[in-house]
Amino acid sequence: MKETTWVQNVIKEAEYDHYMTGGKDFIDDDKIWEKIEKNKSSEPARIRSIIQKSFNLELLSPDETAALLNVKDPHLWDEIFDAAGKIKRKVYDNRIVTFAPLYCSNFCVNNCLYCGFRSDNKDEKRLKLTLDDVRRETEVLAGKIGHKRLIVVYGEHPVSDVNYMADTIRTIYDVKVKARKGIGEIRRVNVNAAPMSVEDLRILKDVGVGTYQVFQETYHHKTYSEVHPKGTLKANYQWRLYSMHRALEAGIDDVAIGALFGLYDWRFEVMGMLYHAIELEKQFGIGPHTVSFPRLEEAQNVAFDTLKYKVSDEDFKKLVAVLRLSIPYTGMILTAREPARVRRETLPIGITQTDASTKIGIGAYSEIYGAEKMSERADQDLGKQQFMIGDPRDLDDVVRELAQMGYITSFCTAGYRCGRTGTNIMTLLKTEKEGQFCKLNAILTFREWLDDFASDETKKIGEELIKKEMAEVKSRMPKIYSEKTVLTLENYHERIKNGERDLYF
Amino acid sequence: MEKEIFTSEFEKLANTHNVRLWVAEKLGRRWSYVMGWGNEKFLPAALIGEIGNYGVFVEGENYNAQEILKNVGEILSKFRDIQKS
Repeated sequence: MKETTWVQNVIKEAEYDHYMTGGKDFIDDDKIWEKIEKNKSSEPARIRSIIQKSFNLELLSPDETAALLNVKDPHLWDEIFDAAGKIKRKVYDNRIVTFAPLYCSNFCVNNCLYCGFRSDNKDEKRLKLTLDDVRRETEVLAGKIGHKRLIVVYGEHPVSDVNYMADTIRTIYDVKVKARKGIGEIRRVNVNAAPMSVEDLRILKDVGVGTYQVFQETYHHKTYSEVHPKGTLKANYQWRLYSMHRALEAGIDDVAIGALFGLYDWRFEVMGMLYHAIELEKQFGIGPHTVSFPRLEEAQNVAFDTLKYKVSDEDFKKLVAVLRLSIPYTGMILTAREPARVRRETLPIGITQTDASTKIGIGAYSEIYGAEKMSERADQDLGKQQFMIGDPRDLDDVVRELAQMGYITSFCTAGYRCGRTGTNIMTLLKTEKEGQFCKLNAILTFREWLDDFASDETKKIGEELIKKEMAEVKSRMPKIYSEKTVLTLENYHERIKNGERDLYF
Repeated sequence: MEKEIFTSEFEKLANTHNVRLWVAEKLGRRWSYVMGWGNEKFLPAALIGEIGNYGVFVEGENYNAQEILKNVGEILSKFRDIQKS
């Protein structure tokens, strides 16, 4: 199909019109600013009572969120950071899930002013992985690095339409690689792709995707129009805003939202994400499975003033903490866009997922890995990737550091393979039960990874961590875990040590 | 009303067998939650039966999977009868 014909057939207005009221979507720019202004000077007592409400694991209201965003007192911020960390542990325990992105294609019909993939960037080398390439990339990710979870990324273009996506996902799931003691394989493929129709989303659903992720980029209508030129697919704000509605209609019940921080005022974007979560809960009873908050990074040939709304490291920590308190049950993803120092400082205030050994060039894993280790920003080729990575460290290094910080890296993908999805996982998250599953499955998947992929140094630290985690599980008996749970955990752990794989709760 | 009775029948079933019981839809390798009953046990889930794209999962100790499946079938038949009448 010709590119122009394809583009004309993508957007189906009827699939989002019916969600709008009087032609308006659920983001009211003026109202958001009114709330930010109205809640400018809250008493510390009010802030503390909002913090306490977060511990009930319910969504905060827009007014409450606006009040947090306006806090000036550094001591109160310390209390917010502390609460954010505690709420994360309450919901998800001390585990950090890890994953890697796999960029499959950088052809794109859009022309977003801030993006290296934009169609006007003629210096970008346009590439699309063949299915053999996808297999090779997966063999490195699953067989050498040891990832179990990927997020696949595609530019919006007819060469990477939904059928190509489905083919690549099937290919990834089929790859099995012999590891030291077990098998390396990808058990969960999440998708970051352009907004799609319900019909296309059903194709993704049928192939067994994990989470479907679309970032709104900016929730601010005017800025959205400015950075997404007219005449492009992405210029349609509502088609994008209602992506998750269509995904849920199509039966994909794990959905993820995000904003690209640096396009507009960060406080507004936090409010936008909260309104998005409220809307999804209202319409479907399911909030976002994860939220993402990437900061705008250096990219090739951008046509956007990246300094005007640049988010400082200090404000970045604030927005992470406020998101944790406002949408307390949600998973929060901190990516390798951020440098190691920022990741270290931000992890303790609510992060649940992070990536490592990250490469975002097309075909970058099989080209680079095993040859020269990419350890410097300067090693990156902006002609082949969307933006600059801030923390290119290996998974082994990241896992070891997390262990030293007291976190267990989890490779768990259990939930969506036994129906802990949708309203079920939302209930488990809101009742603090999901974290109990997380703890058990983190131990088991960490055991697998230590035996199959860890360096000697990391393994040594990891063994100590597993001992500590096992002891914690036992200490939660009988209040939370039954004797049967502990015995099953010990049995599974031994069997994994002996080479069995993929045992989970 | 039918929904409440349906839910209450399954809730009773889960409590009788002291299990957590749920139905999920198979989508490729993914199982998507549809409905569930009973308290969480923090034990591995077992798929005890499949009807088309739907599966019945159970979490618990020393349960009789055949008996549970038989009871699930009885509840479903009962509802077919209610809807016919």
